[in-house]
Amino acid sequence: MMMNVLAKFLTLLRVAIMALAIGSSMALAQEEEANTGKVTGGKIQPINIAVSPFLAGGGAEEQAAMIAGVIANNLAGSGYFNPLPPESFIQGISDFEATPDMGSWRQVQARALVTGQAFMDGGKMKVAFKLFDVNSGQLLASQTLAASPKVARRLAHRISDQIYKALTGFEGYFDTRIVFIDESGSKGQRVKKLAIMDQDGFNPRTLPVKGDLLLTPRFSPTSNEVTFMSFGDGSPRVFIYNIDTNQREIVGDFPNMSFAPRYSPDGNAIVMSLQSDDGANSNIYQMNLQSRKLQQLTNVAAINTAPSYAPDGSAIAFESDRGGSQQIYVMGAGGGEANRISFGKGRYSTPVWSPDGKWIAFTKSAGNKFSIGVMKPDGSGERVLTEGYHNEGPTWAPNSRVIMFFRETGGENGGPQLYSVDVTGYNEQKVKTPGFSSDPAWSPRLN
Amino acid sequence: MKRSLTTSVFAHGAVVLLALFGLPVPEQPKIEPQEAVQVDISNIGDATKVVATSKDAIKKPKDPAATKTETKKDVKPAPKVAEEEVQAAKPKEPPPEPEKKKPEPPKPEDKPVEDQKLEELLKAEAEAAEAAEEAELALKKKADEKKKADEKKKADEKKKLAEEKKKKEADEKKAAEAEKKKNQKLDLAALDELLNKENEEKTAPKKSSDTDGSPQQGEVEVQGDDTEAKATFKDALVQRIKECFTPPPAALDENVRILVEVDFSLNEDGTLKGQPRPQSSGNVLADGVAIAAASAVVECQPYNFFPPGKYKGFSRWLIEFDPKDGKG
Repeated sequence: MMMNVLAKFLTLLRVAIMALAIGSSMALAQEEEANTGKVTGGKIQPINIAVSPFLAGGGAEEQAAMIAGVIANNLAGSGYFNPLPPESFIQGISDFEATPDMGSWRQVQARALVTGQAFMDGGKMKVAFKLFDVNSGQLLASQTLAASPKVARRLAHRISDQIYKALTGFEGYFDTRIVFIDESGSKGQRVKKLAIMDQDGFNPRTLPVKGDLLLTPRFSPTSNEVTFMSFGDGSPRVFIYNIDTNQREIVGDFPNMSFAPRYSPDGNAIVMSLQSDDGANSNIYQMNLQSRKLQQLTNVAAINTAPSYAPDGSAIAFESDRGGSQQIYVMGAGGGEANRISFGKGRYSTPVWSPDGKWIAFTKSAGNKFSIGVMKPDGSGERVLTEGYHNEGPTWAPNSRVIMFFRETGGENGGPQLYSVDVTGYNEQKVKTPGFSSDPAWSPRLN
Repeated sequence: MKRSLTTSVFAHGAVVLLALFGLPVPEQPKIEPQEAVQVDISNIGDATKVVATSKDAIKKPKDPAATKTETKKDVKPAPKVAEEEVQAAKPKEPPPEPEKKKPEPPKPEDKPVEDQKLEELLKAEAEAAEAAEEAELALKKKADEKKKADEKKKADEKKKLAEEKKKKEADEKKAAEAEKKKNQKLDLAALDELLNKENEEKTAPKKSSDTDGSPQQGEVEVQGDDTEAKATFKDALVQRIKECFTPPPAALDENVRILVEVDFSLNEDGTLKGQPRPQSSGNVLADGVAIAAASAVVECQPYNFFPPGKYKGFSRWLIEFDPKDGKG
């Protein structure tokens, strides 16, 4: 009996304590009930980023300094970042593994911080980096990459891609290359050679392709081949050139001119224009590179040219003067009926489908001006990104955020130069090349 | 509060009665402590090693971001809710205790003469004339004293004058900022009016006081309306955070609509209590927005514009971030 009473008393005590605790926590919870609010919009401005000099060891000192510089340069060039000058840094990074003192980076107004190190390990160079959000101290990305020291720049591009993605939400595009036409000689007698360089203009070189008058180079999806038109031995023809083997191959044997080639998204076919027998018209054809089978896609007595596949391979955009003036049309990948999508004032040409499929870039001429612009595949949402005396030949970065094109300057000493512009129309920049350059084509991301 | 206490008391009573009369001989109760659910917040970047930002991880003492942070930034200070009207009307900062300074002759080395005169003008009407006279007399006296000063002192004076000039420039800068704040406050007031449309009798006089140069210090406090004070504070807080919010540009893509929430608490001085807690969605881009949002909350602190005596009930906030402003 006594035991039962005692047990009941203990239970009562326990329940009372619990109830008291629950009551207190209820009261506390009520006291700390969150007020709510909503922040809409936000600033879109270059992010202040500090790229700390990379630590180096074991003979990788030179590469370490270069890598930090390449990263800062890439980020600045994208327009989304403002790399802070290293001279302004208050505190250096001396230990890659230690958590940086974010207070000192906040003082230099950095919002993001990149630290890194490079060292040689068994003949390979290892490069590691960390990306921090300075305000919260959070580690946003980190990775160690290993490769031959010869490709240290590519490692820097890879790291740049990751930083870019972590902070903008877009895929990076820095580990890519550009093929273009290098132009030399006087204005009336230009020698046009196929050239290639990294996307940041580094390491430009002409490719040993036979012929001195090449036009419209386009990368294969694997980036190791380029298709282009060359006057070669006489009449213009479409060729394929393998960058790795230096082999050149003609695409088909046609009686008349073939031009404006472009790979299909799967790399198995090339679309191009073939001139009609009377020379007055041209139509679009597709050639399967395995079977060499030719398929006619348009059959209209007009100049139909500049075909460009949708990234999923389902449709082709092209230009045609079938309606009386040059305009952009879209048809199924197998040909058939085509729908005109450009209806603005002026003539539209060189449509290029964006890799994400959302946009078609074009060249537009109206009045005395040539513009580069974009529109949606249904023709809506047209906007001009840049306008001037002569702009032409847009090509997309693989992330569909940047367009490169060439701009011709007038006058006796004028010539074409490469430029890039963000798809929003901001951040137009001249791309450094050794001489005059035209017809750029952006590679997919390198493997 | 009262209601919950009453409910709590009744609940206690009921439990006690139930325990006394209804409970059998107890068996060993099995009460297991409930563990807090920890959430990983971000995982930005594919194939990258990302630190899980659970609450525990954030609270690590070695993490420098977990401490209160000094913030040097370009962000304009947000308007102080109760003091804003005063600043809006006065081109220079008003003296906190004018009565104390009044009988003392103005000291040129302390404040520029013009500042002193302005201060006098701002005093109570009955004392204004007298104060001005005193100030003038004091100035003359001071000027005489200056003439008698030795060369060394003159050199010192020159130095001080240079400092005063700097001070004056700083004051002018402050005044310009106050003007900026005034404009900002006016916008906020307009927004506030919209938010409290139904409260007609308050909107009209408030607007006139904002614009006619006769501010009413501590207006919000005088009204004693928590809802309105909160709305005003919230507007200022949201505006302040927005100035630091730089979402990933991809979050503005037309096919994307991302909303994230960040939970945080404030100390009485307006600094953050601990770290802001962004809510994770598991989506890489949304997590990027959440980190940018949390970063903005950290960067823009302190939020030291609580209405006087209103810290309690204003300390905890759950802010939603909508980078596309409802579009998309």
